[in-house]
Amino acid sequence: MKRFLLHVFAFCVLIAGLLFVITQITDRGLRHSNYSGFRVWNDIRNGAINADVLIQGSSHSWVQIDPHILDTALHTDSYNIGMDGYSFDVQYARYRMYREYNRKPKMIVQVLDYFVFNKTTSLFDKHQFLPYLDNGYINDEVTQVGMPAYYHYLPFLKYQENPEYIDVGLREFFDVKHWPLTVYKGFQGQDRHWDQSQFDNFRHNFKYITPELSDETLNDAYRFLDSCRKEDIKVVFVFTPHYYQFSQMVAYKSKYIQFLKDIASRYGAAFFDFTNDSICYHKDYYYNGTHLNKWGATAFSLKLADSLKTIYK
Amino acid sequence: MLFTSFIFVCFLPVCFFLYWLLFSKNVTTQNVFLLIANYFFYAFWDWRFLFLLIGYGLVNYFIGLKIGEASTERQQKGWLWLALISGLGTLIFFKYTNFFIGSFADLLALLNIHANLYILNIILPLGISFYTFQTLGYVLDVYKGKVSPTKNLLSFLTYTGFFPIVMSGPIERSTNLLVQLQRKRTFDPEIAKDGLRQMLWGFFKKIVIADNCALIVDNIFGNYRHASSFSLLFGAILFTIQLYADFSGYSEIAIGVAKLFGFDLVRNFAYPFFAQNIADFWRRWHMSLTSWLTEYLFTPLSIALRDYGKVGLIFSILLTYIIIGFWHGANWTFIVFGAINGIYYIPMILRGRLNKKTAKSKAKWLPGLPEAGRMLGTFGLIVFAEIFFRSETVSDALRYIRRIFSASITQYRDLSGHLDLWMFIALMFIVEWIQRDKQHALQMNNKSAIAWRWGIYTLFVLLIFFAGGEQQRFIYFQF
Repeated sequence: MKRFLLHVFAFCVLIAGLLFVITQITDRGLRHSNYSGFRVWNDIRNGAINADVLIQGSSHSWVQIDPHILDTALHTDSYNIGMDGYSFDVQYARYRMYREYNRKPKMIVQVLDYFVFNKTTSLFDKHQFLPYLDNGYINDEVTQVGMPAYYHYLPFLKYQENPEYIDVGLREFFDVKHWPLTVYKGFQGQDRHWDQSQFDNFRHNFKYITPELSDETLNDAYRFLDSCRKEDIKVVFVFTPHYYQFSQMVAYKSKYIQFLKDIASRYGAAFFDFTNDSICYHKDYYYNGTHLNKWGATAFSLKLADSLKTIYK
Repeated sequence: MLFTSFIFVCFLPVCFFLYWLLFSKNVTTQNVFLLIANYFFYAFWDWRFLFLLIGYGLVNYFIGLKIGEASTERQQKGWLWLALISGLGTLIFFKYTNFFIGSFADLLALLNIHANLYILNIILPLGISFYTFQTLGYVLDVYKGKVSPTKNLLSFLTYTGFFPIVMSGPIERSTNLLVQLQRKRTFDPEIAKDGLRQMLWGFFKKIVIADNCALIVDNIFGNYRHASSFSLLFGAILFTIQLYADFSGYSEIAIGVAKLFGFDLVRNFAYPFFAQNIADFWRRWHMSLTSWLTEYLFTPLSIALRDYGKVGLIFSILLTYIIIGFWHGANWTFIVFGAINGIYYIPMILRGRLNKKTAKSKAKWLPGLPEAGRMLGTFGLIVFAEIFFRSETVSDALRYIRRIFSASITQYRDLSGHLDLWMFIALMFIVEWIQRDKQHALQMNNKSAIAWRWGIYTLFVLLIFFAGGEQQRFIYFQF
C-alpha cells in the first residue's frame, strides 16, 4: 500500500509540477502579448502608462474616446483603460491595479453610461484576467463575480477552460509568434456600420431600458472619488452620446442623469453631458444604439477634447 | 455525482483511504463502509430516490430468500412473478408511463378520436434500468438454481447500490459481484494501479473525445434541416463515436474505480468498432446488457421456438433487439434502432453464419483489406442505426437520412476546424487497435520502462486537462 501511495503521490507531484511550469510560461507569454485585450493589462502591469489623463469606463470608453485626439488637443499624454462589458466595480479594481504600478494621473475622465453603477454579476471575456490573478485587487473582485477561488491556490487549473491561451502564451514566450497591436493607447475604434435590423430587433425585445444602480458599486465610486480628492486628481464625469432613438427608450433618464450630476458636484467633479449632443442624431456615427463607430468616435473625441480644454491645465 | 465532477475527485480518495485504512478489518466493516459510500453517492443526485434503491434491494433480497425456502415449483414461480412484476412494474411506471399514454393518444388520433390525456410529471430515477436488471438477474439466478439465495442483507444491499456501477452499469451478475462482496478484499497494488490506468483511459474518452464531439453533434442534429449532406454524414459518424467514447468511457472509469476497492467487474466493451459483422459488434458492445438479455430472454425464447427453425430464430432475435432498443428509452426511435439491429442479423441467419465466430485479426499493425472492409461496413451499419438513436422522433431520423442523400453536398463543412478532435479520435483508435488483445487500452505490465509508462500517463492527463470539452452528462444517465 505504501509503495502504491508513494507512486501515486510522485505522479501527482510530477503532473502538478508540469502544470505549474506550463502555467508560469503561459502567464509570462501573455504578459507580453498584444493578443485580445492583453495589451492594456500588460501596459498597466508593466507600469508603462503613467498617463497625465486617464480615461476609464466600459466599452463606451474603450471604443469611443481616442487618446490620440486628446493628446493633440490638450498637449498631454492620455491613455484609455476602458473595459468592455464591465461596470464601475470591476473598473475600480483595474484602476487600483493601475495605481499600484503607475504614477497618479493629473486627470481622470470617468465615462458614464446607463449601467455604469450596476453590480457586475458575470464575467465577460473571463480569460483576460487569468495572467493577473496574482494581483490582489483583481483577484478579489473577479472572485466575487464568479472566477473560481481555487484558481488563486491552484493556479495551474486556471487555463483548463481556455486552453487556446496556453497556445498563445507559449508562442509568445518562445518567440514563435507575436500578435500585432490592435489598440492605440487602449482605444479600439470600430470599423462597423449601423445595422437597422439589429436595432429594430433590440427595440422589439426591450420596450424600455431602466438604468440600474447598486449600493455596493456606488460605494466603490464614492471611495474612488474620495481618494481622488485627497490625492488632488481632477475627475471629470463624461456621459457619452447614445443614438437618440435609444435614449428615448430610457426610463427616468433625466432623473438618473441628475443623480449622477449630484454625485459629481458633491465631490467637485466636472460633468459633461453629451446625451443631447448633435452626435446623438447622426445615425452614420453609430454601429448600434449605444456605441459610436470609429467615425463617430473621432467626432466625439474632438468635441470632448474641446470641453476638456476648458478645465485641463 | 458525475465521475467527471470536482466533488467526485474529492469523494474518491476520501473513500479509498477510509476503506483501506479504517474499514478493512473484515468483510462486514468493508461492506458497511461501501454501503454508506453507495448511498451517499446516490443521494447526492436526489436523496428521495435513495428509498427506491433501498426498496429494490430489500424486496429482491426477501424474494430471493422466499424462492430458496419454497417447497414447490409453483411457489417459486409465484415469488419470481412477484419480483418481475414489482421490478419491471416500477421500471415501467417511471420510464414508460408517459410513452404509453402518448402512444395511446396517437393511436386514438389515428382513429379520429382526440382524447385529452394527462401526461404525468415523472422524474426518471438515475440508473433505474441498470439496477432493475441487476437485481432481477439475481432473482432469476436464484430461481434457476444458479446461485443460492444470500442471507447476508448487508452484502446484497451493497451489491444493488454499488456506487461505481449504480448509475450506468456494467450490469453485474450476482455470480460475480455478490460473490466478491461476501469475502474480504485485500489490497493488491498491481490491481489498483491497473484500475487507475483504466480510469485514465475512461476519462480521456469521456472528456476529450465525447465531450468535444457533443457540441458539434448537438449543433448538427439540432439544425439538420439546414445542413448539407456532408455535414449530416459527418454528424452521424461523430455521434456514433461520441456515444462509444461516452458510454465505454463511463464503463472504463467504473471498472477502474471498482479495482481500487478490490473488485473485478465484468467487461462492458471490447473494441466494438473493430468488429467484422453485426453479431461480432454486439458481442463487443454493452456486453453486460447483451449477455443479460441473451441469457434471460433470447436463449429461452429461441429454445421455445426452435421448432420453427430460422423463422423462430429471426423472431427471437428481432424481439430481443427491440427490447434492447426499448430498454434505452421510452421513444419509438429506440424501438426502431433495436429493430434495425435485429434486421441486420437476418442475412446471417439465412446463410447459417450466426454462430460462426469471427477470427481474431492477426495483423500486427494494420488490418488486411478484406478485414478493414468488413470493419468499415459494420461501422456504416451502426452509424445508420444510430441516427434513430440520436434523433428526437422517427420522422426526424427519416428526414435526416433523406437529407443525407438529397441535400447539397457542395456546401460541405470545413473539417479543418475540428482537426484537433480528429487527431484525438485517431489517437483513441490507434491505441485501442494496438492494445486490442488487452482488457483495456492502457493495460500494461510493469516491465515496460517507467519513463515510457509515465510519459504516456502524463500525455493523457495533459490532454484531459487542456483538451477536454465542456462538461456534459453521461448519455446513458438518461436510461
